[in-house]
Amino acid sequence: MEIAGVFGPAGDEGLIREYITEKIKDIADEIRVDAMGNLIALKKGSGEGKRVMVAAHMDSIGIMVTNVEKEGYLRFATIGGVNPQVLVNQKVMFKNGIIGVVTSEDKNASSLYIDIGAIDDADAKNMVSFGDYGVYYAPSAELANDVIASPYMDNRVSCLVAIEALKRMKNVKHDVYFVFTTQEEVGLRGAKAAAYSVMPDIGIAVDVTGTGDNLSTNKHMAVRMGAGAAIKIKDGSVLCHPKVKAMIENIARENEIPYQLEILEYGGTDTSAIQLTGAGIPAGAISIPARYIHSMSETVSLSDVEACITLLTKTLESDMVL
Amino acid sequence: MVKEFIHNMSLQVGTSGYEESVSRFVRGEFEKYCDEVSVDEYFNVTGIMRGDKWGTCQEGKKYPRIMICAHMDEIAMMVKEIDDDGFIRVSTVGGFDMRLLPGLEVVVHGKEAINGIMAAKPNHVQDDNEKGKALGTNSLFIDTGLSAQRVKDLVSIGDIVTYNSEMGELKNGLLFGKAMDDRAGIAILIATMLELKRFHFGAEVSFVATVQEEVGTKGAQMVSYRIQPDIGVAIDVTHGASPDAPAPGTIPMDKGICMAFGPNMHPTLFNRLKSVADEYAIPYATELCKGPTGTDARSIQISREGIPTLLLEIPLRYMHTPVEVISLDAVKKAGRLLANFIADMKEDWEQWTTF
Amino acid sequence: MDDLLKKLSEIAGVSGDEGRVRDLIKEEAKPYATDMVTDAMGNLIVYKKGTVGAKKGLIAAHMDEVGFIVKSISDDGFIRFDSMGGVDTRTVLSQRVKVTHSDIKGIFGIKAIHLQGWDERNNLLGIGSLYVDVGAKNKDETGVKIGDYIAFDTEFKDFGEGLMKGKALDDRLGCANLLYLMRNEYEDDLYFCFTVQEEIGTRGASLCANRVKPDYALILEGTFAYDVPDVPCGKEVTRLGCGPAITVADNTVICHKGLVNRLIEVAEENNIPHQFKGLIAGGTDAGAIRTAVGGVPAGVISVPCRYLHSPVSVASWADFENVRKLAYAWLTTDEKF
Repeated sequence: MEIAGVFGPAGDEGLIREYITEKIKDIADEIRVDAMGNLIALKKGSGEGKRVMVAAHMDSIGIMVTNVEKEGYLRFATIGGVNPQVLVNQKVMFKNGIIGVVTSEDKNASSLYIDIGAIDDADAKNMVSFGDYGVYYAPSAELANDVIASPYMDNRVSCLVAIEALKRMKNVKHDVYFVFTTQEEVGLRGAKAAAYSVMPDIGIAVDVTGTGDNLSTNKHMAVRMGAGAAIKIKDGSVLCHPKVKAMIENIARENEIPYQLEILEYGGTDTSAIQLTGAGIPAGAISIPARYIHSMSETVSLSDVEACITLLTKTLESDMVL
Repeated sequence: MVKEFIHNMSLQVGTSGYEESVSRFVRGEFEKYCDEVSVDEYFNVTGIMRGDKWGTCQEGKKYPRIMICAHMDEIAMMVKEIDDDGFIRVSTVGGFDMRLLPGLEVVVHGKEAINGIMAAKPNHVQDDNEKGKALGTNSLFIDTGLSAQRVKDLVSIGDIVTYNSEMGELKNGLLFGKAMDDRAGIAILIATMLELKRFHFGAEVSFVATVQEEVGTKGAQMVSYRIQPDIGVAIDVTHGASPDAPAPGTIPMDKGICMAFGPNMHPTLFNRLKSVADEYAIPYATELCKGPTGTDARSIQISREGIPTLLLEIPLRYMHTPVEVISLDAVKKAGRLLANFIADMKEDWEQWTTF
Repeated sequence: MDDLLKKLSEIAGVSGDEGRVRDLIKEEAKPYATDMVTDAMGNLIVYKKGTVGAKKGLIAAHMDEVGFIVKSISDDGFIRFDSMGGVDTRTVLSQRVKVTHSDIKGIFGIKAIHLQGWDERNNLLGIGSLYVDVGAKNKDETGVKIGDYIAFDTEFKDFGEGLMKGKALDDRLGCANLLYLMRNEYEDDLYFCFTVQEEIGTRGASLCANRVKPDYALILEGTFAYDVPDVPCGKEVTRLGCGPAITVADNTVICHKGLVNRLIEVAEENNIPHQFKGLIAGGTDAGAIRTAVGGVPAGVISVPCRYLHSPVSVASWADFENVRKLAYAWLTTDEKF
């Protein structure tokens, strides 16, 4: 999945924005970039429809250089929900292609630093500087049964879903704003600004969600990878509008799209930012079930991805009456 | 009348995010006293009462538009899994003390209302490291006594689960039941409307039953943006004193009403509220809230260009349990105070919203 | 809906405070009793003369339930207490109670979650930290005295499919079955014993045995059903809906082997579903009766109950009725063991 490999941590989404722009510029009626860096693409409807906002965040979690030790090692801060444990002995890549290995001073990953092979601080500073972003550097892998494991399925797989829906949808009467948002991983910041300027009648976020189908005991989440598109009921940031959830569920049922209902007990999504815009905007979300979120091996099933694309497309093609 | 309203209100099912049904009930009640009632996309209910002097000001003056909010949502649980034997696992919405859940009777709001019992694995089969510890939601389950097939026919993921708790009465007119936080606040709105009927006044008052307070004062954020009032008042509950939470820090139940002050509240307006209470001999306590409060006042104050905000509370014991205790007397007194506060807003009201 | 069981379940009768239960049972037993006596400890013994009268049988169920006793009342009107019997203290917070001295309504208070530190939230409270709130502003207003009893205040109701829920199913189910059983005629002289203080050490039952000196005894109980999630396989003890649970042994008794075998035979002959209590634990009046007066052949059959010793237990109507059927079938066979 090529899109997952494009550089774009929260706050430095330029490259991924260019990549997505390239994919949609011939289909969208209008494209603009706002002050937060959100990519807002309008596909005009045939009229008499609603203003609909589809939000998929294009930023990823990552790291940021904060200091260079005199030995040439880099100290860094994490950007978004990076678990230090997963970083140890893994590689990160900077925007200019420089690669480093993250290592730990001790066993419990309380004090990490990056080795980019520099001989001293001057050498290191020639390659990277304070404030530079890095992202996970790990290959994307295809597992059995059309399952993909890769960094940054969160949330490039959702960008892909949005792009595909934009391409496939036909006879849509609504003005649909496809917004590829920024800085979701640091607090849903891009979506907040975009939702205000778009001020839609309905908002639908697309993001990944966790699953309850691994072997750890005492987890009772009903979402399974491979069991279809997940329709969000709640996550840590939002209770989706019950009528938006019901609308999407009806569309899944009518079109025989495999789906499951999602209750995520942590995390947050752009849904929340859209909901709280202005006097309140009915908002819901479609999620792609993903295992091992925020690790180098975020794992999704292509069948779920396909279900999400169909579900989003059919939803936008519908009357969207609540 | 107010007591019966509280009883009915306590029984309404209206958990955060799912307030449609309680909003219908509240709308019906508001329509008895208000000039206009509306319900927005997220089911916030707004009832507008205009004073008989509204619109009669001299050139260049106006009476204030006052918004009074109390939240109608309640904390709840949500079905997150149904196992092969029909036992239900839940997720929580709002702040729960997990220690009181085992042994509680609940209602699962599936296709029909189903009685259930919240339980955990028997203490005799607990591991040593589990003993004496609170159990998380993943260690609790609901038994409905129904077959697995029946449960799966009636219940789906996301269905709401509420406490099964009919209102009761203790000594001294103390009422207990579920969701007194903040249905008692809605009762204060009603009590205020009843009182206000007897006054001549100039203000336009928007009484709002807000949604999603328990998950981040979201309804108040929505309505403040829409209504843009000159003055905002949040009505909520505060902690009543109990042996494990004695005063100071909590408010004795017999203190009546409680006015919050601190940076979330407008200082001049706060003083005005106090002087109205003094003038009409309505006893009250005050409570210092050092930061943004965990009430609708939090969102009202910072809406748009800023709204002078007050927070009026009544003490409540055992918040977020199925047996929240409030004083009927405090509800009535709060209504009386608010009505007097509103009626005393003359053409020179703006002085109370300056510094 | 069985009104007798509802009445029995909802009435308060903590160990040592069985008076109300006894009065209700006396009233219900009157039409069927040959004689009735309340002994020095409060046990109620209902004698029913047999048609032949060659032997004496003792059938027992205990009247008492788990609960609390008032230890002190604070100046600001809150009630402190101790537990009576093995209350599952995990289940008491924010439950409703009745202080039985004059049926004063109260609730178990707990300060709000907002006021709890992380440590407090994660650790269960001991009985000494709990209190009951009756809404009083001071000690005098409570109307409560030290030594008053506190019982759960739970409505008895049908539950789910074919089940019931309520408090004190252990052992008001047994009491109800005794009351039903005494409506029939038997060859032997039967002594229906409603015992006291079972929950605090099976203290009443042996007195009944000493008085009656029975040839055989059968105890009707409510027992643990652990057929719920998170219980390791094989530790279910009993399962709801699988019939009367026959005790082979528990912590207080090894039941008479011949009698146990007869119960099984009788169950099979009459097609009554049955199960074994799959755990050697707990104690019942059988322990006290089995060793009384030089040894009494005794057995126990129980109705499986989920969430025993909590404010609300769950049992199956079919199990309840099958316990009665099995007891009746056994009581009317010639050979008891």
